[in-house]
Amino acid sequence: MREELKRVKDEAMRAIEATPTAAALQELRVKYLGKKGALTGILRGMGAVPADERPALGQLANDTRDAIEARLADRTAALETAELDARLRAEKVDLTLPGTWLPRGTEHPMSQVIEEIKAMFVGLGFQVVDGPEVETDYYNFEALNIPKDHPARDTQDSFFITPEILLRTQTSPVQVRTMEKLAPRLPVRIITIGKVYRRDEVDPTHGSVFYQLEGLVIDRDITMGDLKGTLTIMARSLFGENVRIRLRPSYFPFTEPSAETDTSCPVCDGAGCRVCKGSGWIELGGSGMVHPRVLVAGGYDPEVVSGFAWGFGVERMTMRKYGIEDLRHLYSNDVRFLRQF
Amino acid sequence: MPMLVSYQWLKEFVPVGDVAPDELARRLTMGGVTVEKVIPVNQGVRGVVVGEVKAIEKHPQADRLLVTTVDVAAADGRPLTVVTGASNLTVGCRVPVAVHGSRLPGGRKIERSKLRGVASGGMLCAWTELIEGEGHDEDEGILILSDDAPLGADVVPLLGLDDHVLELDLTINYASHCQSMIGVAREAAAILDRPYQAPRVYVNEEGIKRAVDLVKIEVSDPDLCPAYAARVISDIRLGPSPEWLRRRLERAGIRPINNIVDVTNYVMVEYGQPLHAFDYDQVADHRVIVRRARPGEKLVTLDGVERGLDPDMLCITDPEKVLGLAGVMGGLNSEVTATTRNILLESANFSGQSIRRTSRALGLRSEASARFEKGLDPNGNVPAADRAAMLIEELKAGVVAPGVAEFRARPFLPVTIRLRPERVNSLLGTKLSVVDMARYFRRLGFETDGVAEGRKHFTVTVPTRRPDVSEETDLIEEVARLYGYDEITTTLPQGAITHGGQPVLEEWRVRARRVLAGAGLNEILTDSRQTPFAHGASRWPAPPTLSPEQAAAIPGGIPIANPMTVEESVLRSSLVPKMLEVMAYNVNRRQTDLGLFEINRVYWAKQWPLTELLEEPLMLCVGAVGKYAPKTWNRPEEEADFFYLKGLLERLADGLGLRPPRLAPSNLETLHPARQAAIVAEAGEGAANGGPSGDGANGGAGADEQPLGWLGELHPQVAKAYELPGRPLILELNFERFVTLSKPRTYRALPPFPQVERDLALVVGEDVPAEQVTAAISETGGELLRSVRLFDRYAGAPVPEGHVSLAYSLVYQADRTLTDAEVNAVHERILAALAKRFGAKLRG
Ligand SMILES: [Zn+2]
Repeated sequence: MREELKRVKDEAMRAIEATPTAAALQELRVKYLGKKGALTGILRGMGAVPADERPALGQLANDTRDAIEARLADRTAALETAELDARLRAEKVDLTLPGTWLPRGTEHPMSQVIEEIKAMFVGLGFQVVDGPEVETDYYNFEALNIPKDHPARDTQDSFFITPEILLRTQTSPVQVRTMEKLAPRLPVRIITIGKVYRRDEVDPTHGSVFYQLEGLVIDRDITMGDLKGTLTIMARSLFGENVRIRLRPSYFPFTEPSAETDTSCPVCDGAGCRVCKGSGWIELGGSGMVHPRVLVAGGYDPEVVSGFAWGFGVERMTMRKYGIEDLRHLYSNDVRFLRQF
Repeated sequence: MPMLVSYQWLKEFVPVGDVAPDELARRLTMGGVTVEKVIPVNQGVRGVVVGEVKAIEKHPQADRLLVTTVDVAAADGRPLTVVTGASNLTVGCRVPVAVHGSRLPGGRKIERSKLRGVASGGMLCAWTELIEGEGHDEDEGILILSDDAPLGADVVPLLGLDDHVLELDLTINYASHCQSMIGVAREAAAILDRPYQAPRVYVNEEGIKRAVDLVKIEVSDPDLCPAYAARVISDIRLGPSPEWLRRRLERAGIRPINNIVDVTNYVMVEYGQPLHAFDYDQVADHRVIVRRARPGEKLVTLDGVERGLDPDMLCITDPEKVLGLAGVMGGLNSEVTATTRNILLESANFSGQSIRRTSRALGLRSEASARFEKGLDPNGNVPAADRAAMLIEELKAGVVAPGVAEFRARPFLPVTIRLRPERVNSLLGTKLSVVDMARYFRRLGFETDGVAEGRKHFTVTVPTRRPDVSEETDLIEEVARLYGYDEITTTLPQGAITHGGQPVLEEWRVRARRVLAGAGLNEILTDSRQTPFAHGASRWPAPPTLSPEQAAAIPGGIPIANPMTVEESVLRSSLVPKMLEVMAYNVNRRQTDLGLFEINRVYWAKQWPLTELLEEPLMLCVGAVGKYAPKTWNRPEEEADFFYLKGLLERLADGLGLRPPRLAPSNLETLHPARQAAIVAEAGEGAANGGPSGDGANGGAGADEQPLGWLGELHPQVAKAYELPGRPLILELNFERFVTLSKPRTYRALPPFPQVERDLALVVGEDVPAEQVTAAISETGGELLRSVRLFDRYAGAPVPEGHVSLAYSLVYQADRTLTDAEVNAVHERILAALAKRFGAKLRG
């Protein structure tokens, strides 16, 4: 019987080694260890064995079973791993095929710049406010210290609906409307962004409609230095840490002193290049200290408070930011343009 | 007409010789006198010298050419032989000679050459060859220099070519006093802190009779003519002006004509005061009457055009006729001509507004009217008349009668303004002393009084030539610019901390933009203005704010009274027409798969004619055509259809956290009659700012309720009108009202118990709206039913004819583990309800 056990063990071990698949191993398991298997068959003959030999033989039979089990398990694991490897290798794909298409839309570059500007000023504690695009003569001109027959009306030729109602030529009417709402509360820190309309000739940098960014700050002790500081922050946030702001004396009826506002060219850092047409500076728009008469129109006492305001063209900032050379691209709505943003 | 400032001329009034033109331009600009550009007068002339013509002979081979011998004081002492085609040469005249190796404008290089067999050592130059763009009477011939021009000398300084012209871009407040050489000089003196030297004027009056005895001035409308001065000059000898005068006029952009006209123009440029010369003998009675035109009066102006005048126009007249349009243009009847013997020289102050109106009305604009428009110093007219008289006398062009005949409405006194130094510093953020400030004013030629450190205020007296400075804030600006904006310290506003934010609607707009871009759409931005025909072409409904009659009066939108083009002549009431145009624009560029959106304002009149401002609601528009997903190697293409559009609407509502709007039948002419719907809020929800519908196009949306908008497939006729292929889709909704459907986002704790999923496949009649079946399921399912999703719709065998199969996926959930029996009971109830309401059967 010992010999028989040894023979079965040796035979099983050889068979396990020779079996090529995990499934076939299962059959081997039945053949040797199953209820009708070889090992069971041998143990059935245990009755014929003398009683004193039984414990030793029983032990040997168990050892034999364990050895076959262990070898089966090892061999199964090895074969399964090999089979999995083979299957995975067979699942090879062409990695250079394009990824699955997913929709991607775009927000208009103007919208993106407007959101960027708003986020920046909101962070500085400004409220974004809104006003009508179709305005009264009063808010667009009179309240801004531009009475009828003022020569400034010539430089801002307007589109009229009626003699007293027109398409606003600037976002500044929102200044007065906001002051009327807030007065006498302090401080006033607002921006507004919206369309304005002027009867100007259209060229690569001027349209008869454009977006303006208007800002207004009113408080006690506001100085022209504060204007420079606020605009410096804005320019740096939009164009880079190194740009500088330059104010040049100018004239607007609703501010005094008034200034044209330039930022140093972010491309050449003021040295002069194609983008800034060699000047080293890029014009942003007008700014200045709020004229006392405008403060009065808005319900504030110019003896007590002062303020500054600015109005910049958003198209120009967008063009500068993305290097767009012609304003008209912004409004062509050509999807080949829009999809670039 | 920009002011052109000759740098060399400017140096006569202010010592800036050590400041290069570019630097001067920069300093002036930073001081408030904006210099647009600096133009060198010399465009490349180099090595051209003065020569004297010694001999002139005919060219042996060419009739039209001459062979000249010219002495240019060459080092070797030998004269040059130069071939020329000019006919205005005489022996002994001095001319500019471009010798071998010299340069002319445009990089033109002069070299020895042979002209029809004769060697030529250079070229004799005409004025136009030396300076481009300046007209000159000697256009036809060689420029003849004065006899004392030194032989061999460089012509560049001699002809004043070593000059630069500063082109100014003046702001309104400087337009008045900087429209003159002396005005700019005063500014340069103030900005650079240099002395200003006024022209020295002395008039040699050799006439016998006094001006006041020769002419009577009567001003009937002193509101339009506050000051009028006239000088009378006799024995006029008309002729060309000397070279220096002509050259200066050219620099200022004015073409020389004759000595009298040239002097008036010269003084206009120098003093900023336009002058006009009348033929004295044509003035009837020698009485000048300044008055408004009478109805029906006419005048033939100097340009030969007969002009009808109206009573808003100010005229210079005599007792019999109109002599000229004040400040705009003289009349032909009193023009100075070759036969003129005596002139009346007018130097007047006219109302700028009046001149502006007249020149606009007649479409006549001149250097003179442009200056009057800006408003002139009422005390500046007599000095200008004196200066002109002095020049005419110096040029020996006439004999000046003593004195000036003058009218003044009243004395024009300088204004005195109180300035608080503390206010200057607090507004500018500076720490200037009282003395510093006073010094700036004196640089400007303003007088100060009461200046002492520690004083709360002092006074500044501003001369009448500076009408832009009339109150304290103007003085503060003068201090700021002379101190230098650059010098002001950069600071940030102090004061209370505020929190920023934006209007709720703006927040919604940002989120909607993100949702739609995330769904693959491209945002467009279009003009608010369009053609009056665009709205009709789109067939979109009129705004709900107008009655049908009012809407019919402005079918294209709100008309702009003075549009520039018909394409921009009305304000739109809908985003749809522009959306269709943009789609067509892109389709024409072979971009046929489009998904576009715009969120922008439209313009709704509340009544017509307008009596108050508009409603400007924010609308959202989607336009799509073609494929929204392309065919790729691993996915099929997806065509945009009605349900794509509806899906976008649902995604939008969901993305914004809004209750989904309901669709109702509609009958817009823009859209496919069977594939369109009105977007409506559920009853009692949202729809607050609707207003009555004026067009009856809102179909089944309820009697009073204006839909939030519409969506659908474009009607093929409309698509054809826009040349759009395929089945384009359009959606527009009132975004402001749409977002009022908002519901608060609520959190629900995740259930610890498993959910139970059941499918339900039904067969119903094909006319049964799926939405109603879904609603019935939700309703009957009650508390336990958490979600219902239609995942299949099928028609065709084995489903009987006239029926469809709808397959739903239902999810049950409770705060406990649901038993099969519980779920089965609900499921049965649902089936029973559907069978009863729709005759639905379980699909076998
Ligand atoms: Zn640059």
